[in-house]
Parts: sequence; C-alpha cells; structure tokens
Amino acid sequence: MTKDILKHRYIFFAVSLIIIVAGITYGLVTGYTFDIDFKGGTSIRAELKEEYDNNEISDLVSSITNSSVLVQKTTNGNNSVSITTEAIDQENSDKVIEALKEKYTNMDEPSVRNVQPSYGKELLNSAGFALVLAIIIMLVYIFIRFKTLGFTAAITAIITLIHDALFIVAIYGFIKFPINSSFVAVILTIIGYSINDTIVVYDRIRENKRLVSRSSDLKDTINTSINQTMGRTICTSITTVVAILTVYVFALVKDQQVLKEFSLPLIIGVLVGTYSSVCIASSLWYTIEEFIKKHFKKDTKKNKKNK
Amino acid sequence: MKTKNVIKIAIYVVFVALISYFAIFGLKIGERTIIKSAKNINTGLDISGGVTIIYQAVPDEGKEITEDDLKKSVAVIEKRLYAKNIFDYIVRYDISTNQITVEVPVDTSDTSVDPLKAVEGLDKTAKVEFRDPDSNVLLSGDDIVSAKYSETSTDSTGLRSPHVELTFSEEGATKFSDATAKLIGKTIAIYLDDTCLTEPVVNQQITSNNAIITMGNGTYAEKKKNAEEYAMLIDSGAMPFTLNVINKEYIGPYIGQQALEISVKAGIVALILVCLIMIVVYRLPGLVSSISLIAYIAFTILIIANTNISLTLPGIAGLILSLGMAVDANVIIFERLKEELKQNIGYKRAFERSFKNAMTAIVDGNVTTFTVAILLYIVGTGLVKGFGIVLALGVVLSLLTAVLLTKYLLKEFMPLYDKSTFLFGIKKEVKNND
Repeated sequence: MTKDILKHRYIFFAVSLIIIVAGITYGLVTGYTFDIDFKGGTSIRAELKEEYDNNEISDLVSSITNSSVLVQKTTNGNNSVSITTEAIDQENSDKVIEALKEKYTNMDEPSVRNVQPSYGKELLNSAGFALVLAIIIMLVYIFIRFKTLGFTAAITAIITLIHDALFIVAIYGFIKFPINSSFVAVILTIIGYSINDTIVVYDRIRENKRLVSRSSDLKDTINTSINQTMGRTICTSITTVVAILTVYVFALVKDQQVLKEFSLPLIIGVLVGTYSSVCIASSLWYTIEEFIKKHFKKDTKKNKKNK
Repeated sequence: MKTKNVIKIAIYVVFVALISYFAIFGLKIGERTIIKSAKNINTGLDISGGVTIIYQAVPDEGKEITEDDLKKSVAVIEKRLYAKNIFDYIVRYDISTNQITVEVPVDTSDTSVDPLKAVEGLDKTAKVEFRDPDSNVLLSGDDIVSAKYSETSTDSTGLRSPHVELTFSEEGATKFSDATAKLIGKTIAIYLDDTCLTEPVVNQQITSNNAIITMGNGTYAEKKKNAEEYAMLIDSGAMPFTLNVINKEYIGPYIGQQALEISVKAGIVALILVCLIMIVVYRLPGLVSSISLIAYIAFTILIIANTNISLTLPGIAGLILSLGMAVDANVIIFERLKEELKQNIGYKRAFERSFKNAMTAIVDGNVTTFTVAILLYIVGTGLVKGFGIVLALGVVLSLLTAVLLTKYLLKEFMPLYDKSTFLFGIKKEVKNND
C-alpha cells in the first residue's frame, strides 16, 4: 500500500515551523547556556588532599551556580582539582568554596581566576564558514547529479539541511544543554546524515522518473519513491539510533554528563534527519514546483495552445 | 563449484579475523612494534587529558600589557601550535592577572618522551633583528611578512643545505636595500632573541624583497631542525612581551575519568546490537554485512592507531556518522535485493541488479559527504579539522567494506543457499532461473 505522504505536507511544514520557532524563542528568552570556552567563565583550582569523585564535585557546584561545570583531575600536588564554570560573582564563588571546604575538610585555600572566552567564538566562526562553503558545494553537486529533478530540488535539499540545523538549535533551547564543542560536532554530523538520507530518496525519484512515462503525475512519482525507500529509511534510522542510544544508556547509568550531552542531541538529530528527508525535502520540492507551475508556467502553456 | 565458494568465504573470514586481531592486539616482533593496536590510539585533550602550562606575561620595562597584546600573543601561540600539527588545544587568557593558559594533549603512558616537548618554543619571544656592526637595528620583525623553510639542492660542499627564506614587506625591502647600499664590504647580523644566527658580508646592494638565513655548522639533520624551528618562530610573529612558565601540570580529561572505558564498552554493545538487527532483518545478507562491519571497525582502528590522528569526541561523532553510512550502504543494497528477488528474475540477475541499482544512491551520498569532510578539514580550525579528517577516512573505508567486501562475500554465499527464501528474508516463493 502506498502512503500519500504529500497529502499531509502542510501539517509537516507547520509542525517543523512551530517547533523551530518555539524552541529558538524559548532558548533566547530563557537564555542559551554556553561553555566556558564560548563565553568565558570562572576557574577554581584547589588541592583537596583526599580522594574525590568528579561527578560529586560537579553536582555540588552546579547545585549552587545552576550552570554546567567542568571538573578535571590534575597532577599538581595532592589530589588537586580544576573546576570551571560559567562566570560567577563573588558571592556565588564564596558559596562554592565554602561548600567544598565543608565536604573536603583538609583542602587548601583554592585559587579563583576569571577566564576570557577562548577558542569558542573562533570555532563557531570556523564551523560556520566551512558549512557555508560545504552548502555551496553540495548545491552544485546535487544540481549536477540530479539534473532531471531541476534546480529547485537542489535548493530544497539545502533548505532541509538548514531545517535540521535549526531544529537542533531549537532542541538545545528546550533541553538547556550547553553550547560547546559537542554542539558543533552534533550539527556537522546531523547535516552529513541528513544529506545522505535526502539523496537516497532523490535517487529513487530520479530513477522512477526515467522508468515511468513522462505524463505520469509528479505527485505519484514522489509518493511511490518515498514508499519504496521507506524500508531502507526506517532500518537505517533504527540501527543508527540503537547504536547511539546504547552510548546514551551507558552514560545515563554511569552518570556521565558529557557523554549524555553528546549522545542525546545526536539521537534527536538522526530522528530529525530521517523525518525531514521523508516528510520535508520532497514535499517542499513538490510544493515549490507546483507553485512555479501555477504562477509562472501558465503563460507558456497558453502560448503553446494558441500556436 | 560449491567447495570453491566455501574456500573463498573461508579466506575472506580469516582475513577479517586477522585484521580484527591486529586491531585489538597489534603486532610485535621482538621488542619492535610493527602494527599499533587500539591501545595505542592517540586520544585528544577531551578524552584523555593532557598537560597544562600557565604562562605569566611580563611586559618590557615602562610598558603595560593591554588586552590586545594578550590576544596577539594567543594568536601567535595558536600559529605555533598549528606549525607543530597540534589542532586539539585550548589557549585561554586572563586579563586581571596577565596569564595565558595552554592545554595540549600528551601521551602520559609513554614515559620516555618528555611531555613538555610538545609545547617547546611556544613561549619564545621570537624577536628578529637585523643589526649593523655597530649594533644599530636596521630591520625588525615588523618588516618581515613571512618566513619559510626551504633548501637549496647543493651548497659549496656539495650537500643539501637547509635555510630560512624571509620575505620583507615593501617598507622592509626599502630599509634592506638602503642598508645593503650603505654597508657594502661590511657585515649584517641577523639576531633571533639576541642570539646571532648568521652574519653575512654584504657584497652589493640588494633590492629584492627576499633574504636567506643560512644555517651555521652541524649535520644536515641538525641544520634542518634548526631552520624549521626558526622559520616557524619568525613566521608566527613576535610576542609583545616575555612569557615565563609559572605552572606546569597534567590535567585529566573533561569528559570524566571513566568516560573512555564506558564509551568503549558501549561501543562494543552497540556493535553487537547493530549486527543482531541486520541479521534479524536481512538474514544471510545481514550476516555478511556484520562481517563487513567488523572489518570496517578493525580497519578504522588500525589506521587511526598507526597514524598521528588524535581521536576527540567530535572525531568519534564523525566515526558514528561513517558507521551509519556503512550500515546504510548495505541496507540500500539488501532492500534492493529483496525487491529484485520478488521479481522472479533468478538469484544471479537479482544479485547483479541490486548492486547496480543501489550504487547510484550510495555513490552520490558518499561523494557528497566525502567532499564536505575534506572541505571541513581544509578550511576548518581545531576540532572541525579533526572531525573532517576522521569522517573522510570513515567514508572511504565504509565504501571499501560495506560495498566491496559485502559484494564479494555475498557473491560466494549466493550459490550455496539459492534455494532458500528464508535466508534472504522474502516471503514469496522465488523461481530459480539459473
């Protein structure tokens, strides 16, 4: 049975738009959290003089500062620790030190320094610049390889990628994971995953367009192609999600904050990439094609008839 | 015919097993390591930690340090790190104390190498000066646009001679031309941080915007090492102040102490689950793709362990993506195979056609990803570069294993089981036309 995906296209557009706008608005209003290397922050170094657990300190500090905390063991002295957080004021930093002293009674007086943002901004710039170039190259490549689908198909493939990236930004707005190097990696990964997904569907449309007679409806061709590739789409998504989900479950059980922050957005991203290549890319392409036909190609048809 | 197929399958399986063995245990002959294994993989700052050095900036007398100075010195340090092929680093500065913190990954397990070697020369002031015999400064670092390592094929002794090639700015070229015109018959000394590198005699006025610093005495290897270091230091520019090391220490990974161990365990479980899914959904082809998948992972480990690529969290993301694409290539082929088998065209034709039809999608998908990966490697900085190189490697390996190895293996399996619909996961009865 062939499912009519295109029939529901406006619902898909609406759902995506609502989630993206709501997520980013919510994120901007309540504030995105940034890692120290993106925004600067406070670095506390202390010699605790007894065994400690990274996660315990991380929980202790974040319960006071309400922000993400990096805890690293260092070799300097007797069980030393380096704690980095978002910039905190004197009052909060005093509270943190007090709490630490209460828990680790033998510890030395810690040193507190403010740190300027380092590679974060440059990293975002570099990733952004590289992505813009990558998008141009993908646009050209898809246009050349999928000529029979027209330039609009290449454009909608790229719009789908931007959709996926914005979706992730929106998700970060909701779940309040810090913007850090993992974030950049997740965005890059999802874009790679999504373009592959979209290309598989496009490939089928290209093939079916060749096979069926030209008079055949574009809507049918797209629907058939999406349905034919559905088995593959679902199987690939499930295997990829299961693989990353395993990492997430391990991280959850062992309470590994960084791994959690890394794997959960990846899982969501893979699902979004799958959803967009099935529900958004071809639907959007069809909608634009129809729009062009309706508004720009009428005249040429009339002219032909007159002749 | 059938024995031949079985032997070929056995050869492929033994090959994959051998690769996997090397990936896990490596190969040692006597004391020498021939093949490095998973244990030798260089992991990045985020995964295994590294060394932290805190520098204190000390201004020249009567000068004050501004934020711009600190920013400039951070840029100089970054340039020097790139020149050392270190892309996984953190450089931070603190205005209130005028301190600069540098973190780079080091291999803490290899005690024979001094971990601080990695950061050697980062704090050099690298002040270049051209002086006349009366110690007057003729040109300084500001007049130099670039410094490159190069070598002439032979010098007067008939050996290859390494040197540093300097390019002056327009202003620098004018100063150099004026100076050489005045100093014919005398010497011009080139100083780097108050050490005289060379003191050539001026024979004539030089109007070009190039100058060469020749290396003094020593073997070819020594001269090459010096020339490369000088070129790196001069090219990255001079520090606006002196840097003193006030603290060095090892620092743990920020992803947490047990994170690496947990990730490895999770990875093994994930691999088993993915193989199970493939076998349950696609039966015999699924088994074949599981073998390819293991080969893919083993190859990836071997290449990363035996090159200088250091694995970071973003690098792992790149690997997950290419692993997904490797699985995807097989899923595309097997879905096609099911479709073709249902058309009753016989196993042999169905096999050929499924690979042929699936290839366009696989090639287009992989070429796009590969191009993007290479682009990220070229234009990206830091971890974007790391992500790009690992992804590019992963895409190539996934094509080799998921397409080629799967095809060869399946080709040998097909004649053995061509009567079974169960093993190919199709419900309809299939007629065998061969």
